[in-house]
Amino acid sequence: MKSKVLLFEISLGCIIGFFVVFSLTKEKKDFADFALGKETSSYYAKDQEVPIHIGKMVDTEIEALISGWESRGKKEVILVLGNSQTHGVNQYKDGEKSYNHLLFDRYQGQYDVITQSLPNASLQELFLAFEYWQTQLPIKMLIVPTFMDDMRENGIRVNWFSFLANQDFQIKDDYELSSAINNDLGKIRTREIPENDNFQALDKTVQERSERALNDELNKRFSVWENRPNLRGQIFTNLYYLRNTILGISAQTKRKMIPKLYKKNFSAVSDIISSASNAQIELLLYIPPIRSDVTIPYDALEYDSFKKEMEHQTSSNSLIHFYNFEGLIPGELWGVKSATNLFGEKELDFMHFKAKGHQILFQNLSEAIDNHL
Amino acid sequence: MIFNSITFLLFLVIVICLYWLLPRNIRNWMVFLSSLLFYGFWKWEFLSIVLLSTFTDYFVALELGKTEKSEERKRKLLLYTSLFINLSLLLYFKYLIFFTDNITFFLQSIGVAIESPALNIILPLGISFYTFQTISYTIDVYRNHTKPIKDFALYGSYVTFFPQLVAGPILRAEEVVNQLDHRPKFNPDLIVEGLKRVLYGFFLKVVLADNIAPLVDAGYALPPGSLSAIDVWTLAFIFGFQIYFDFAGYSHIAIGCAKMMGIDFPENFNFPYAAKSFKSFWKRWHISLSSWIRDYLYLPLAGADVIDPNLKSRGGIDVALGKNEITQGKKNRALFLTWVIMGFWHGANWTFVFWGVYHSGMIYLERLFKPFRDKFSFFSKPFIGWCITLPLAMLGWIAFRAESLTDVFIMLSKVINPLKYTFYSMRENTYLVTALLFLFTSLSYLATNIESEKTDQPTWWITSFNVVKYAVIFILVFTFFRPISQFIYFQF
Repeated sequence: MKSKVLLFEISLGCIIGFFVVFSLTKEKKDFADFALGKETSSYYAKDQEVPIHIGKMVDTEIEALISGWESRGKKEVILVLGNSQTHGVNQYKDGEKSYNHLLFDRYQGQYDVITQSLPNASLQELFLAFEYWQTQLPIKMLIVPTFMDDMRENGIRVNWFSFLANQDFQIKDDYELSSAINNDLGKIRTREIPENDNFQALDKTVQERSERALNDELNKRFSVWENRPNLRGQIFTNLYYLRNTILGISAQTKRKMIPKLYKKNFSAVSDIISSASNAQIELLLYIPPIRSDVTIPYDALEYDSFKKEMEHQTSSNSLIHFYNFEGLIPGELWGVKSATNLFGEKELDFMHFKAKGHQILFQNLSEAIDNHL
Repeated sequence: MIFNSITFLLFLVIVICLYWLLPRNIRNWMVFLSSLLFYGFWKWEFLSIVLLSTFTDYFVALELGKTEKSEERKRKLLLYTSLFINLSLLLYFKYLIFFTDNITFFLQSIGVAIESPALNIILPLGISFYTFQTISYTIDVYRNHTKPIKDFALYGSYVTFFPQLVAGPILRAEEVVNQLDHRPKFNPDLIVEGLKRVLYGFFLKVVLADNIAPLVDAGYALPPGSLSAIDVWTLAFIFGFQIYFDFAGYSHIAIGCAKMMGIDFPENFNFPYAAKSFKSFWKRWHISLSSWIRDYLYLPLAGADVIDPNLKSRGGIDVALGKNEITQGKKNRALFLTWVIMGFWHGANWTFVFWGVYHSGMIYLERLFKPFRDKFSFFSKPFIGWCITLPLAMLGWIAFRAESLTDVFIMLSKVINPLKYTFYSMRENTYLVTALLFLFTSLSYLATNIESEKTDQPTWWITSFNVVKYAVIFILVFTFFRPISQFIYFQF
């Protein structure tokens, strides 16, 4: 009797579970841009179908970007680094351009404007990216926004930098964070940090072949199986919404500074400054625009001290130029995003703005560039 | 072959069908050969090591069986042969790099100009488990606790039986050989019961452990000096949960697979984080290992001649029976030595040795304070015991996960520094997930206790609850099922 009941419970549970899975995986969603919200689109600039702006470091993208630069005459480069504010355009319409693309157009003939932007990039990652691009391109100027949000991030992410790790790329020992970053790259290289590969555990075993073959077969035959990554995305999204609902978190909730990570990212800023100075590269650091018609999601005192420290940090060298663009973009040009909780309404977006906002940022950046180049 | 893979599921279905269809002789060969296939799917080159260990103890045990009790010298020689071969394999593959590195370091530190040899030795999967299993078999035959197995296919099936080959439970011959030899009548209940355990196991592994792993990796990747005491506690707890879900998940799957073949494995876990003392913790965590260590290491080291067979597989270490009078000093020495070896068994690193010493220290302190606890009834209350044991047991995991002994000391020093409780260094989700896991584990313990008290008669609401539970488990396991990470205990 007991085992019949158990059989009934397991069978019925699995059948119900299967139908739920089936219904949830019918519609394919793209979770790559999940963090941007529904209202904001990713925009990676291209010049005649050749990338001039990349996100993740992928060999084919980097090769295409460098060969594009060569074909345009190997001009000196203005390197723009950033986070999703750079590649996110709110309520994007065809033909609109991000600020870095506008910079590319503006300086065509004089300089080549090359961009790399990574969502939630820590300053440590931007330092690593800068070090890499110095080995590939003749950089005349580096433009780096310093977001308070990104001072909460940490380390080098495997998803974005496995290419560099596998190239045995190392930062020179001259900087404060050299060993920490090289250590992170080493861990990615030796796979101590799992790569985003579903077969990670089978690396170099006989089973890897059978597992990949079986998985491919299942993908081919059953869309439910193929769409499992989509389902994983939905589960994490709903957990994120659930967390926000229970804890009352919204886009306007104050994000506290995390002292140790803040300090580490500040060291990365120092390293970027030292590296640029050593290589005689003009450096344009700026406090990026933030929505200022409503209360910002930072502790006011912490944010003020962040800006002051950043300004102080950049005052020591004639090659380093500091700008504060925090109030540059008017409120109406900022985006809204879908609710980030289960029952809420649309929320204000503090990171991404519309194409008109990109236009304004472009104008201010180009003025700053003209002042120093 | 890794459990959380489609290859394994396919393999399992085929083996179970054949198991129930084939007659006895062919069946044992089928189990033996399919177990070798299971192992060979990882690295077929290392099958020779499994086979060497298997053959050695098969022949040594047969010889022991033929030898009279009076021929003690010959019996000892046979036993030492088995120990020498098995421990040499373990020493070479698991500890040679550690010893050469440490000897080189020592010589360098006294001024000898010497370079560490570049050794490239891959640790064969599960070597610590199957060598312990074969050693225990030979010792049991030597002690006349079990008879040598003459049927090689049966013996081979016992040693290499795929559900437990790479990470246990460590089985004694008497626990499983008879079951392998006499297949019960087919009963669908076995399949259903086994399926339930396998589902639970996959849930713990692919849903919980694998999804906690990135948070744990990120936390332990931070420089230990930058962590606060709150971070250290959080990292201790979250890794404690990860390793529990990972290993208990493995054990559930192993037990479930064996169950589907009509074979009962002893339980390997019993809510270890509900333990009210370290002594009780080791009756609940990796029970087959703690029983093994007790019977084949602790008791002989303590000077106990004979073990009570009824004690087997109950887990725990703090038991000493024997004809001899065992002094407290001898017990303590045995305790310390046993735990150093226990730590070292887990990995060739000083961090594991420290972990072993830490546990021996905790058990020693428990013994020391027993009279005090008995005097003040407040300290004997189970809840108080749990409140003391849980955080200390979790703190011990720091040594298990940290990269070096220096990191361990830095992290543990934070915990005793009140000034390090004033900030935090990780993203908020790590703390939140740790708190939720604590809640989940506590609730599942309470729910299991309530479930065990309920009557056999199912009620509609219990059935409905279970249907929903299995539906949720199915959805999550289906979604997250992928060989993205190995079981943590595979590295031991």
